[in-house]
Amino acid sequence: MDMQKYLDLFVSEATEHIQAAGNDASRLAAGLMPLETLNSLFRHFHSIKGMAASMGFEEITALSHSVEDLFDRLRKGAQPPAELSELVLEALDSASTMVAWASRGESRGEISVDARPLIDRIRAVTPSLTSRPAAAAAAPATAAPAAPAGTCYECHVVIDPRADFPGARAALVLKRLEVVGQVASSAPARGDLQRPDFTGEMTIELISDRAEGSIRAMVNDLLDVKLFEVRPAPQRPAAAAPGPEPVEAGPTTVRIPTATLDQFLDAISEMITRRGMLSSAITTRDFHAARESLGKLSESIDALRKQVMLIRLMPFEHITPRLTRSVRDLGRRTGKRVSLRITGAEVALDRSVLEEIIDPLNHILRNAVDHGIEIPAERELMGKRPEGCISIDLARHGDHVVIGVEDDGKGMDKEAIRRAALAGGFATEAGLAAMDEHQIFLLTTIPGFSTATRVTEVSGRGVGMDVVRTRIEALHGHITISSRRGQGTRLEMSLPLTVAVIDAFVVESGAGLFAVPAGSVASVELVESGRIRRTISGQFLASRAAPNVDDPSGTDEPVSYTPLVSLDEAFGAPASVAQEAPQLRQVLAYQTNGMRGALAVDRIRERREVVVKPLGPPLERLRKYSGAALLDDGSVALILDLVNLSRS
Amino acid sequence: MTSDTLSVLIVDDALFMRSMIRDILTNTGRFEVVGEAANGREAVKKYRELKPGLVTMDIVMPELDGIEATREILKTDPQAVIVMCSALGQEALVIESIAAGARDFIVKPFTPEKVIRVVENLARR
Repeated sequence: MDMQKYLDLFVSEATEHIQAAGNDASRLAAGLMPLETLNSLFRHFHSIKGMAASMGFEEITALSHSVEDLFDRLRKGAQPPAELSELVLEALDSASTMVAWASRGESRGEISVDARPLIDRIRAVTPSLTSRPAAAAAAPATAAPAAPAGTCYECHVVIDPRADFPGARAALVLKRLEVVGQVASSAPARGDLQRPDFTGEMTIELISDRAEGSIRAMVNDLLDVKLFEVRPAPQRPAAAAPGPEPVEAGPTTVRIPTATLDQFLDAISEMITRRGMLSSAITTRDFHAARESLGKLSESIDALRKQVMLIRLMPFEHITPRLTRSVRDLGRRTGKRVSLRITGAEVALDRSVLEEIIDPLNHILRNAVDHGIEIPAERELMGKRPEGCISIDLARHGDHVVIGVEDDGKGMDKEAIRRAALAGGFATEAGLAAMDEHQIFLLTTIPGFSTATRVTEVSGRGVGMDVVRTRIEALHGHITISSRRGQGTRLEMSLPLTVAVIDAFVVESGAGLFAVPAGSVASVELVESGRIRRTISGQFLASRAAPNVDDPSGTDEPVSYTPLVSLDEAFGAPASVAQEAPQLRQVLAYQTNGMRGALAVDRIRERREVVVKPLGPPLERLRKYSGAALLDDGSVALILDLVNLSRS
Repeated sequence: MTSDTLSVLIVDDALFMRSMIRDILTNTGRFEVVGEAANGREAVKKYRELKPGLVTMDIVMPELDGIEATREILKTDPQAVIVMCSALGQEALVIESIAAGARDFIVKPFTPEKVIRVVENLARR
């Protein structure tokens, strides 16, 4: 087992947590102690503890454990000790020193002499919790047959992720605990332990009349159990049900080489100089010089923005080990032989995007192995190689990254999806007739489709595909599915390289101001209104074919039609504005994610870079927009999501 | 059987596996293989005769599989120490065996270290 690889991951993730916890700690030092901060500190130390335990770094585990316990009490309302912020800062200092040792391979085994006094001090100021009566504890957790006598304990288990069958190990822990009490609940549940995404961490609610020590004794001889802790479960307020904890954000800190910071500083001093030149040009009313200085200032801003962007980018290969591992585990579990090939792993994506696509990708891989790839015998019957192949390919197209996941399994059954859609009331006959292949496959991403129709058995896809689609669209990305029965399925996700700044056309229409992402715009032209055809199913833009000498009949006939959306009408402009169709219409033709379309607008105001602001709830549910851009004059342009616009 | 060795019954339908486990265990000098069985039914019968201190139990076997055999053995002797021998990709079966009462498991391919680590840990308890 390549421990170096795990070590690198540990060091970088632990460092991120320490830095984030440092930000929270400075809030404490400022005398602020909102619940959110206490929760956040608890989670950071909890995460560090779990990772350190898996790596066998006992000293880091013990230290973070003590701080975790302290914040666990505080977030449940205990009185904070006077020296809280000093203790936390000391603990963070000490933790980062130990992580640095670990990164050089110098830390193993016993608690170092340095950390122990600090741990003792933290333990000394940690308020104790009184155990609560069992009846109250058991009631909300499960429908336990009879309230068993005893205390409700919360057990936390970390199984060595490198162990064989970590899920089975966890099952052993549950089995042992059942000897001394009743397992009221566990997360993950027993039935989910064999899933390949089981991380090795499990939380158990145990009702037992034994003391903590004898519960611990039940599991302390089990192999590969890196950490087992048991403590009386926190007392829940009777009235307020415990809400879900806020979702932990992705890595929010970045380590930057000081040389890069120097470059920033250089760029900024350049900008300051140019601002000075601009300002003096304005004072002397030398507009020529002013224009020149402004141009140079814009250049500097651009350069700085690119540098910052680069820091946010991270190559895809950062997450390939996790994907490879999950495919291997999936294959092992299902008895199928699967290999994973990744091409284009050097393509970089925004850190936050990368972090967000791990789950959807894992989901897609699981579907591919579970429902796509056949068992070896079946594959051989079909003349395929016994080993199934899943490939992930990445490529950059302009301001988008396209990630394809392809398997050579049994493919999806279009007819079965059609039938299922009809039976489940997800589509009508007429609706289905108008759909192309892609749209039919996309039906499997409708929430509830797969569970309602058990489409997975027949189609080879579907479980949780709605979740995948939602996650991708939340990143302003899009998903397409293509499949051939017996040959395999390809899922393609197109994601913006960054979510911060885009190049866009700002257009005016009777309905207001809009921004159209320039990366998708193929052409801009003034079109005679005669080329715009109205039909029952919408408007189309007719394009003339190139003259064809062999076929004189076709020379002046329009041959292709592009669906056209008139922004005035699509966004409900007052009739008075839209009623008189002008002779010439300004049209932007676009091509995105395999879809072609055209937009008719009143006027193109400018082409410029706009800063994308998320719409936020509840407006973010409007799928036709991917965000909003603030313009120089203070007005707001809604950024069109061309894919969803053409779908609607 | 001497007092400082632990008696073991090896259950596996493959002779290769049985001899491998036998070699690994006997080489330590701390285990004595008192019997072998090639299927679950034979395993239950031999367990009753030999009352070994430890059983290594293959899962997929003809006649009676390892999980059923484990249930049978534990019915007559709830204290029986049974360690499952599983192939890759059988985690669900191992979890089922644990629910049935198996004390631990070893995943093939076997290496001496893997096997000894698990059985010695059980022997200590």
